[in-house]
Amino acid sequence: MPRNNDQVAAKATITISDFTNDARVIKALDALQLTFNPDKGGRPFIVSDVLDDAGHQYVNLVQKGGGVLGIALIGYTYVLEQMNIRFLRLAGTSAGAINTALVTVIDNKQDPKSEKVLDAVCKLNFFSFVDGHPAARWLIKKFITKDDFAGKAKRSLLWLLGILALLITADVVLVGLSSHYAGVAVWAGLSFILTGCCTLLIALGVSYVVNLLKRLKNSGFGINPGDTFYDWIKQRLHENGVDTVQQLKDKAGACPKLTLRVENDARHKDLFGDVTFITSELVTQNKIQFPAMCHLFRTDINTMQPAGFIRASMSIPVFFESYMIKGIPATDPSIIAAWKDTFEISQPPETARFVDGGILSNFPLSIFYNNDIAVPRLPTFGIDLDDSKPEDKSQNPFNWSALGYFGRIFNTIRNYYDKDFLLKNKVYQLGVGKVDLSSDQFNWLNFFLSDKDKIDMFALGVEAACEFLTNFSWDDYKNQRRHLQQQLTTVKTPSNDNTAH
Amino acid sequence: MTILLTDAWCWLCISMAIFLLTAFIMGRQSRYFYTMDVVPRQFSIMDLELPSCQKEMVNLIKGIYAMPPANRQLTLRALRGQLWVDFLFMPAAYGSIFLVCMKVASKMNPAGMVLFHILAWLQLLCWLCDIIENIYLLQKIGPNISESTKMVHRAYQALEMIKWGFSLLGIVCGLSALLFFWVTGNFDVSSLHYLLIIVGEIVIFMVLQKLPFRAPIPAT
Repeated sequence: MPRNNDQVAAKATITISDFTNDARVIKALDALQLTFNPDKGGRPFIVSDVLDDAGHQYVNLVQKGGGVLGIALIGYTYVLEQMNIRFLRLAGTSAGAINTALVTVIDNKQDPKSEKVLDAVCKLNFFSFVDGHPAARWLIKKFITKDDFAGKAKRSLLWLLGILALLITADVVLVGLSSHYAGVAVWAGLSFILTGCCTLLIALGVSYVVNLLKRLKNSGFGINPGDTFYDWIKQRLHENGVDTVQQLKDKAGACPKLTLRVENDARHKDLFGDVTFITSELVTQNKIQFPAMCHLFRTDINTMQPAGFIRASMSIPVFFESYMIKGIPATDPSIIAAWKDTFEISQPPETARFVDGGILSNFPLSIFYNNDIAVPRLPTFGIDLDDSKPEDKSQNPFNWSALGYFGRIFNTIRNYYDKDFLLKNKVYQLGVGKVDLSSDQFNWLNFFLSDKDKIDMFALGVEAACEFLTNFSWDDYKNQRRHLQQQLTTVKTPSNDNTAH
Repeated sequence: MTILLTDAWCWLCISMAIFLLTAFIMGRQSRYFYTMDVVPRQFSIMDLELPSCQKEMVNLIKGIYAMPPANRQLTLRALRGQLWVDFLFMPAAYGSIFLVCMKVASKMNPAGMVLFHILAWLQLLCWLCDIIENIYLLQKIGPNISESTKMVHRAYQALEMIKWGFSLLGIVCGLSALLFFWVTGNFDVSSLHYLLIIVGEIVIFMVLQKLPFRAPIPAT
């Protein structure tokens, strides 16, 4: 790594076996394997009709964003891999994009990757990603790890102002008394000096806050530059032989020989591997899918750095600075044509500014919808991270705080795009497993995770995957998907036109 | 030293005048400071003195070299110029604090005297730190700037902490004690004349700051 090696690397206090040998993980996996062990009375394990020569079953996988909760995604994919499931097409947003990227680039498609992803996580100091100003880092840490930090800070400030008022009063009183009592003069002098020091502290605090706000504005309203993350993911891609967009595409597309378990009219049509990272572009206000849309930004896509796609996808607004692609050849005919074809924009921007794909599509299941296939050959699995707290689910609209109110508005807008797809294509719900992370123990922005938190999240991911696989029926999925397709081809109404596309 | 302290008020007026004059020049120079951070944006010398991480200083200086040639030249000339003017600013600034602390120490009881003598002499350390900082920055400014090691960055941060910490402590304690002695009538009335001179200097400085001055704004 060019820099930050020492910052990014965590102390080796945790190993892969701490995750994989956790009692909950072993228990859940044993129970799952027993469920699908025909020799011990279990049922056969079938989740897809696409197989390779080694007997691995292939699925498409969509991973939801969720900050540091992404560790649960590794637990989930670990179980899928343990059950000999492999991933043909992958997509993810934010934290989901990170896991998606690692699963894509590590080894070959038919190899299990989760343990190597875990290894990267074990060696990682998550807090190093919070690479903003030290004061901002300190504030973020306190806000996230300390209960009622805002209240305590407010009380401390009031105390400081109270002390200043008392000292000024003491200055006046002691100066008055010092003319009568000589011994008081020393205390009066001391009180003056303390008043000066107290004023200095307040002035420094105010100027620091003003400076931080100015920096926030100058940095495009992002507290952390995100450079450490960029360097980290770039290095992970490099270690796995991915330095260019073409190498990323090649890696995602390289599949072993695939066969179909049962006959399908579609045969091997469109049966290929790929990877998609979702991000939101603010200049033209569009959802961008990398690397598929690279041609919008460069005539030679290999001049782009694939690490930037993941960095763009995880740019949590305000927490991280936006990711920028500068110097877009906006007058080049191929770029103009690309923007026109894709977004009906005839004047491409010269600079694109990206924030977290999660503000538009945090769970991009819709990108794997294939209208040309009557009977699916493989399912789309989705990993949903549910960290909504009980108060977020409260149905009483009268007791929300201002923050809660605006949070509800934001969440309604940002989630509806994906929710709309799932409501209209309920069959895709069958492939979604939900990891329950609603406990107060977890916070999606808590970059100061303890080892226990990491293992707990991993175990929850494992348990969620086991529960999902136990209840998943490939036949039901196929039948419902076939039924949906029949409905679409026989009945065409304006309301389900959305679904068809 | 005896002459210096005997005429401390006079020397303070002189050092304050140099301090304010150099501060004025440096303020004007800072208006030319632009760096390319996606778009050209203004920065201050504080961004170089107190960077949040090693990479920030590198990005900032690289950003200067990413500016259009004309703006780059203006920024570099102003930045280097400010660092050189700073060498004149330093003795005036730390000298003023030194004089205030020494003057106050002479009015103190033995314990206070020791404390303020220490604070006064610590200004020499602040001056030294400032000199090292300026030399470091002057040799850092270049198109091929490399990132400092973590140890060098930490040493640089320590240097800044010492410089700002002791100088601010000296100013605050010195001025607070000075105010106390003036309020309690522990200084000759004649010392107020010097105070008026210093206030006059500050007023002139503030008026000069308000004079219209337009630095060229780089095209975005």
